[in-house]
Amino acid sequence: MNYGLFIAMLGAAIAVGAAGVGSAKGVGMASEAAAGVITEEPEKFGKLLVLQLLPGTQGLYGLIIGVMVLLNIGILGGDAPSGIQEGLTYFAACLPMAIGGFFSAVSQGRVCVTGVHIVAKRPDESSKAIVSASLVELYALLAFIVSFLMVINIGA
Amino acid sequence: MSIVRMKKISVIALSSDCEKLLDTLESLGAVQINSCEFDGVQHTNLSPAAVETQIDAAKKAAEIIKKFSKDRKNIEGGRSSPELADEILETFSKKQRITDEIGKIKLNVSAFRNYESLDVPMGLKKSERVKFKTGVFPASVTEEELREISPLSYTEIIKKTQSKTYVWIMYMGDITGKLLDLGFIEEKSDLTKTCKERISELNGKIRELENQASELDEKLKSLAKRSDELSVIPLLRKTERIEAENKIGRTEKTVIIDGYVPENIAETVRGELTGAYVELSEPDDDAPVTFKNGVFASPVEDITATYSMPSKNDIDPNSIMAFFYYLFFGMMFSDAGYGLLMVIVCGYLGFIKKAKNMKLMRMFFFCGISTTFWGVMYGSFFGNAVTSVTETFFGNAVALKPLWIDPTGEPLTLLIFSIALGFIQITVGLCIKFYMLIRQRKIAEAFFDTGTWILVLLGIAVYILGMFAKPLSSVGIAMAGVGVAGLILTQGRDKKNIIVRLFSGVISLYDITSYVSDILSYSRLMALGLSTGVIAQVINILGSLGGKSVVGVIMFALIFVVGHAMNFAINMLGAYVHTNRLQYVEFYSKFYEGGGKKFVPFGKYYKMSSENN
Repeated sequence: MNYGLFIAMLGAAIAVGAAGVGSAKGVGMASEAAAGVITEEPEKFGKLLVLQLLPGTQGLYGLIIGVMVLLNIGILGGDAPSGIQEGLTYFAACLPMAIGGFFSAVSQGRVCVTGVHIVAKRPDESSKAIVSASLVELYALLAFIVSFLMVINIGA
Repeated sequence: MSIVRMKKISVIALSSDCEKLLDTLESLGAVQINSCEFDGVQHTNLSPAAVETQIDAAKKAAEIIKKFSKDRKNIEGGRSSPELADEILETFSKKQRITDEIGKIKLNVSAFRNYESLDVPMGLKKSERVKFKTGVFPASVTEEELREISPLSYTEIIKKTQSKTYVWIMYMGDITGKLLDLGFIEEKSDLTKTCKERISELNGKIRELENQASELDEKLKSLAKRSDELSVIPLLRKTERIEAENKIGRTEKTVIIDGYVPENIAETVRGELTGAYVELSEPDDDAPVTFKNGVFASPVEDITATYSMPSKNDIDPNSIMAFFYYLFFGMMFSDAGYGLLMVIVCGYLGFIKKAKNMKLMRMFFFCGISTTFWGVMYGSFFGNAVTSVTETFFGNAVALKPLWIDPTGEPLTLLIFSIALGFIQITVGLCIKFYMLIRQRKIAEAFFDTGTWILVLLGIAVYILGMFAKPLSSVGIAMAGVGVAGLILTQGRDKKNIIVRLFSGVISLYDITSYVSDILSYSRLMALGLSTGVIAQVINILGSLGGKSVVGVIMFALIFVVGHAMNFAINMLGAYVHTNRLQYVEFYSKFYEGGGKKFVPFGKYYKMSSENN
């Protein structure tokens, strides 16, 4: 059995999994809050949808990292890792996305919940709520960039 | 290109001319009416509540008849008939009452259904000795047990189901205790007809009600044909008019209208207002502002307006911002296929059909052009759709060559490019600040607070360029050095003590961290650009898993449409949000003061209302 391959896949799994769980939590929180507003004022759905979706991007970044790993380790392309050491390297490359994605998605979800309150009370200020949520997003992006650069350069 | 400044306007006229005057002002749509605050003038206090109720009714009615009419007439410019709205609402609530009634009866019927084969009435009158009960036993009670409830009882099983046995019992004496033991639940009823008769009676009633309901449906359908009479625009116009009338100052014989009018058309407005005394004067600090821009920059005016309207010190940032806005949006969305879709759809809606949200559509049209451009630069057309299709279905892969760079192949180059763009935008922001300060004659602030930072940032940039051309690096160090020295010497200039002064100067250098974090924030240009491309690729990989077969083609088409639609929606949202953020947080924070008020002229709904066209 090739432990290197196993460890690399474990990395891909937690990058997709943890970032996805974070996004699911974030989107879930925002959507719960939005549902309350929608029962009273269904016409605000469009504005709220943006806030509901924002914490969802981390899951997508996680997916990208996961796929990039699979493209490199012989599942969707490339060659299987030569040994445990290379497998661990892929694992390490997945960590920023897994950790950064999970926590930033949950925090972003919280910001979006407060954003939903803003939209409920002052719908004209919704763009400010969206910008506040995007402040958190930066850290997911940074984690994504680092993970991405690491995965890309392991084979090189 | 510019911010339109305002003039204060005061119109004094005879009360008898008031209506005519308001008509003119409304058709001009160029004057914002303010509440007139002279001593001794009176205000009317008309309430728009009645009209607002009509607006609510019209909106609800329009919502209801959507279900009854296929052809959507354009109700935007239509008439408004409150009677029609009321009639629709009334008919609908009548129909709803009937539907509720039908539901209740149906529930009733289903209760009787279980006893349908009982051929005596459930409420059969008991005689002096013989009594009857109808009800349910759990299915676990055996027939034997049922027969032996009491020596003086007769049990008829009406219906048996998996879990329940429905029975009719005729008995003498008292069997209540025994029944309780067996888990009997009585169905009390004083029905004097058999269940069958009752059911057919109720069914008749249901049919009757259903007929009524479908009659009401027909009525709603015919009412729905008049959907163009449910426009809220004339009603909104009424409320606007009422609000305007409340702001007019009135004396016994005259009316005074106070407000703002854009400088450039002030004289034209004066000319239109015949028969009234018009005075134009310089505005106070509270005066509202509006933007005036060409086709390229006007679409982003609303983006700026949601951030804040400009203060009196600000310049109009829209034309510069528009350039960066379209550029960044394109870099983040970066797919020629998606871009072309945007160009076609938004171009049609924004320029040919001129939809209600025309400005937004035009903005996305320009964003679409930029998206297509970057798609070509990155070699992305629905991801790698061309390669996928040719490889899977035709055997030999044809790759779409990127014109400039393959983002997944050389992410580092793209990252540096993104950060360089950020550097440029921030420097441009600082230069605008510099210009604004000079214009306000704050020369010291301009050179010491802004000029020094521009020098430092440019110096660093030149130093980095020095990696390619050696002599530049020392020039860069010199520029940055002058900038830093300037900061140390000038940043504490309000402090008396020379030591404290230098110390504050040194402390101010710490601001470099905020510039660094702002510039790094532009790395999202690369990250979001990558994410569009890679997710599109994943969709294409999933689609081509079916291989070269009929099923494979169908599968590819299905996954392609659904997957790319999702990717389009999510990444367009992402590009939009993050482009806004870069403008608001990184760019506008450098120079834009904001805090102005938006110019809202009286007569907003006049042009939309068909009665005038």
